[in-house]
Amino acid sequence: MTRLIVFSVVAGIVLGYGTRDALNPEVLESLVVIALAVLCFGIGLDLGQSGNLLGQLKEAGSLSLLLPLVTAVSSIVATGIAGSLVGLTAGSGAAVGAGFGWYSLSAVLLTQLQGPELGTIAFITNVTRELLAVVLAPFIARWSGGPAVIAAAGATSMDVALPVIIRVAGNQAALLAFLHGVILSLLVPLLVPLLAGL
Amino acid sequence: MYYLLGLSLGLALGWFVALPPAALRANTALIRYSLGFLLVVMGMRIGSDPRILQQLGTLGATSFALAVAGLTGSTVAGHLAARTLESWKARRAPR
Repeated sequence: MTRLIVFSVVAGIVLGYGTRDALNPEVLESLVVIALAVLCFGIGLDLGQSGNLLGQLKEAGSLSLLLPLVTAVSSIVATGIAGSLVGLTAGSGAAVGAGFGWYSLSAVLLTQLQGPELGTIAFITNVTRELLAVVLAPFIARWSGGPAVIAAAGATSMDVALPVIIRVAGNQAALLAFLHGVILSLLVPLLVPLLAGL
Repeated sequence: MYYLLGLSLGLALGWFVALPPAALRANTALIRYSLGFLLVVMGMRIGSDPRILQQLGTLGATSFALAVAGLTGSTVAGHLAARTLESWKARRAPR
């Protein structure tokens, strides 16, 4: 997955730089909208196939609802504060943080809503968050345990970071991690535009 | 708004229709390739915008600060939430 991310972005930048005089921004915009709709359809299908989500939520106990809420609020507050310290508005920082590691969707949404600069920040921020969450997972697990590792991974706890979470926090963390990722993934398309408008 | 339509359609289809393994494998490939395509197009937008390339150093530092803030905030909050819930459950447990 990491190789796919790096290769695709670098290839795109090189291609875009090489063809910058011939590129039509409106065509690129349409391609993004189409690719994003197709990607969201696939992700929705994946989520829907995961079975009885409400039943699984009940089974995982109160932490399954509390943890995504805590992750969402703390990420938004922390990036809102950090955003205002590095020269962005608190709302823009919070909107970037509300991507919870889902770099493709948050970057595209913020590019459309606030322009390519904040879209690029959202992209780099959320890719970096995903990479740091995976790399630091063993250390966080040793310091605290499964819930902190899952919270660190944000929305990626249901896919990219899930194998690492299971490895460092055990099989019992799998369901909680998956549900955490599902709930945060559903919140991203709602919270990013909401916070970007502040 | 098309992405919300895509997400809703996918959720509804996945929820109500049990798909065969071949369709699920095809969906995994669809996600992978559409993600790759999306990232290439996003890269093209960055590469073709001279303002972004000039600011990449500054944007990178800002992005790193935001990533560390989000990760640290949620890790500490997740740790505290789990500990609080554990002690609350321990207090409520019958002696």
